[in-house]
Amino acid sequence: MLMPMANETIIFPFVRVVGQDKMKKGLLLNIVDPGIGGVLIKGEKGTAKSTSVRSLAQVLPPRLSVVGCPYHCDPRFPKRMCADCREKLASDAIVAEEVPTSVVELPLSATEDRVSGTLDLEHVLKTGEKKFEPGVLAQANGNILYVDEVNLLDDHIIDLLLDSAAMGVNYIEREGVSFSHPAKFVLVGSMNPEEGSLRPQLLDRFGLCVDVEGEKDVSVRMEVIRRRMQFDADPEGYLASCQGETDSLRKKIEEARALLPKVVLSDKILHDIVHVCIHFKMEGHRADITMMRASKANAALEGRTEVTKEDLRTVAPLVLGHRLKKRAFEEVTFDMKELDICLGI
Amino acid sequence: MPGHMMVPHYPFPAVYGMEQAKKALMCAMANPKIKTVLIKGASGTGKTLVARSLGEVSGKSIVNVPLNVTDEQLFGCLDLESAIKEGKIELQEGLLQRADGNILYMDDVNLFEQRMINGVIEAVLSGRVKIERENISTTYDVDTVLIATMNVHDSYLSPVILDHFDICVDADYPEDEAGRTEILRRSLAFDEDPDTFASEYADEERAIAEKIGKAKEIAEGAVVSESIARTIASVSGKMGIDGTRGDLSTANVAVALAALDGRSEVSDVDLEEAAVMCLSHRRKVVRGRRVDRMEKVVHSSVGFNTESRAIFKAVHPARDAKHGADSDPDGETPENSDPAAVADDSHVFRGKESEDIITKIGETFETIDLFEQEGAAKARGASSTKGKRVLKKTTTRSGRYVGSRFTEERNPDLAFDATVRAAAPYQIKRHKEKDTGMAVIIEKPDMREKIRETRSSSTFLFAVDTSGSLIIRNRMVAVKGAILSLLKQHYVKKDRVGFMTFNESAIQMLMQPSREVETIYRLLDDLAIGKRTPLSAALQYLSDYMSMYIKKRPDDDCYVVLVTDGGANICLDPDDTVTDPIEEALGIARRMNIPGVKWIVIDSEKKFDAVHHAKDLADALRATYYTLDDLKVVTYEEMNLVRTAKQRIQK
Repeated sequence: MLMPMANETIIFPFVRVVGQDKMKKGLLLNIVDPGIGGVLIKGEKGTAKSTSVRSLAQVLPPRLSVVGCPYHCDPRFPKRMCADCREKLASDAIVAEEVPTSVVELPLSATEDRVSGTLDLEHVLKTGEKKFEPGVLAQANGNILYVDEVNLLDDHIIDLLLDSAAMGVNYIEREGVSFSHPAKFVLVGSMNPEEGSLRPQLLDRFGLCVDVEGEKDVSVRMEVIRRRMQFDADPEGYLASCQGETDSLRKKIEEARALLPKVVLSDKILHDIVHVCIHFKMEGHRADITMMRASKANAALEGRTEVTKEDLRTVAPLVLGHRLKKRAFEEVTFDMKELDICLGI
Repeated sequence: MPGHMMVPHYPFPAVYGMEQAKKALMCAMANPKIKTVLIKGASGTGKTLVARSLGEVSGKSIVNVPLNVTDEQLFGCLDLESAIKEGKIELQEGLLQRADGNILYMDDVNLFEQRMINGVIEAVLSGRVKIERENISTTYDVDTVLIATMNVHDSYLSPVILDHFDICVDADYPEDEAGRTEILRRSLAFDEDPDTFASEYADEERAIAEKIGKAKEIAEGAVVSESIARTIASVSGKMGIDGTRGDLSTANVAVALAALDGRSEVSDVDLEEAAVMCLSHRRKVVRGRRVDRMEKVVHSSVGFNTESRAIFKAVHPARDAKHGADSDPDGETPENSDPAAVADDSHVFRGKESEDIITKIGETFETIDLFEQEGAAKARGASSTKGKRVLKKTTTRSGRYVGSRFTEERNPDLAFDATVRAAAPYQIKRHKEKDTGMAVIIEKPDMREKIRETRSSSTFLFAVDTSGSLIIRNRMVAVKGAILSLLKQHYVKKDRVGFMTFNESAIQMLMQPSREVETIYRLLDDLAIGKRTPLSAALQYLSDYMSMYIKKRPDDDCYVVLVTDGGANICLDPDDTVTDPIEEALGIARRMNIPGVKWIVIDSEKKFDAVHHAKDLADALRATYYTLDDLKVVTYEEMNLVRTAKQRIQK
């Protein structure tokens, strides 16, 4: 795989982030199956949220993309291609190339037209003809879209993001432009709960949610500092020193993706999922479906073709935690013991 | 520009459960007189899925209205290219035009701006779009049906808009284990292979399409008999529904239901079902004792014996005992149609609360939304939109771009598309006059600026009197309960909330207005209590604070919620023994005038106590006045009762 280019800032290696297993799990599950619906990372500042997400690019397997397509259509899935590429496909004019999967960041200050795309001003002025200027959602297609401090984003932009993420399509009907293009991406949001929360309806639309905490153990904290110092002293060298681990994680992801369609889910497990969701009073079906997908992805990630109760145990807190019914201002935490009883473990 | 994407298709019959929603959609397809359908439900219940799956069985295409649509795009605007290049004024087709003969679909309709919803509904119902903009003046016909969904937990639609929906149904998703497992199984199968999955349902889908086709023919010739019309009128009359929209919808839906069943004759069962779909969302504000009793009314009017009444009695014996006198037990008197009267009734005793309600901090009731109350109060005088959640035009350059207007500003927030469209028709002429080398020559009068709108946010500053008088009467628990319930609501709606207390030892701003509402939970549990009440000083402080605050957030609606018994006993100058502290406070209150800030006084005295200083204070402040008891409304139990009654009817 390609190394980051020299003029790019080098990011602390993903494989060397200490602890934070739940967060890593949430991210990896989504990479294996982007249909899980993204992940929201909640935690205080300085808990490696942003670092982990940004460095994710290092372990992402490369993907195929149509050359010259602004939406990076994947030639293997004609149904999810933009109208342009479909036309080309019909006349067999498609050329594909392998490109790295990237982490696209949405700045907080992004305006709506930059997010969804808009009329190309320059083109209109020069030629008098209309042309669509792709925005961040176009860039995000097939990639990971990262929104830091998602709770501070304007409501209407969050609505827009979640709509596209759910539908896999970005519809634009504005400024004289009527257009739609594929926008299938993994939405990763991070937030510091001290700075306000998200509407519960928005929470529900994130497939997974993890709470991250700073490490409390002294020796672990020492290790964090030690690694950071080594990295700061020689970023390139440090990155190279763990290249092997990075490569093997990437390989693991690729294998898991290949394995995913073969993973089966027994009727027993299906019942368990529904039982758990009913027990925890999940409204609607998003929790059920997400749990099903996440447990399959987890099995694939561990190289198995059958989903077990252990998979459910792993993913349940990520799926259910943020969907628990809260009464007024209660603090609710997910209870593993309750889950175990529910699963009959 | 290239066209649109295709979205994978989930077959209509494969949507499990949602019988009511499916039936409503089929009705709309069977009877073209039904123009608007709203599906309400919690998130993740399949509202969107069922609406989108309609395309295949109806043979129509679904035209999606994205959340960030602009006016021009929706209704149509000047065609830019032909204007610039050929100097021709032509209409570029809008979404509504594309929906002609098809289905117009709005997801999360409540998140759209009210103006936009109004425009769409108006066009759909009248079948006509009128455009007066940018040198274009034209009308065109649109024959379409609007299918909208909304999340019930996510703000609300105004009654006026609701009334324009012919049908409003709940996404009645299955909650039992078997149903949920089946949904999961289908979702798994669809994920694995959408095409095979769809083909498995192809026959069923065809059957439904045929059924709709036949029903359409029958419905066309169907006539609503005199007696049916009379029954409908009496049902809606009894439910206190204004206007005739609901009656018409009910008739149309009843015809459709009969037609779907292969009959041209409308039966009582059809009528009953139609009334539930068409009238339940049109009832007046449900407040206090007024619970959904529509099934009962429907039943008794159609001549059914009503069991729901029996259930009702069994669950609420106490209520009935108290209200047996003024609410007719058989539901034969017209429902009270005055919202004011309903609101005044809100202090009724309500049977036993469910046990898990947090007793420690007082009862957490569903409370009246203060805004809705004010809306209702206004509606008594003149019809007006509800105060809240109405979108607000902003002066800053943030918010959703929804339209454009002429501007003379030096450095406007330029709406480029509109500007170019304004300039377009003159291009050929201008190019002849002077050649600047530009493709488009824009002159000052062409300039258009963006109209942006944001959902107005509100600020609630709670100022709570924590003096001893409250403690003695053990009212603090009730105060906490009331505040928490209010906050719970506003937390959901994303307002800013601040919290301040005052007693003799200090006036404390415990929390500056912020969105982090949950903090108040902790604050409420640990309040410092003092003995006496420095009301004057507190008012002075609030006045200073809010004058500053409103400057920082000029677009906000600010509310100061003053929770007190009004019993001031410290003057501004603590050593002053001559002035009457209450009079002094009232004087300050009368002089209080901060534009943009509204006051709400919650009286912590019991409703039937003799002295109400807080009422005087409220009058002086020109505030809305409530007692703590006013702030308790419908409990969850009563809501559930409605739900079970509905389910029973469907069976």
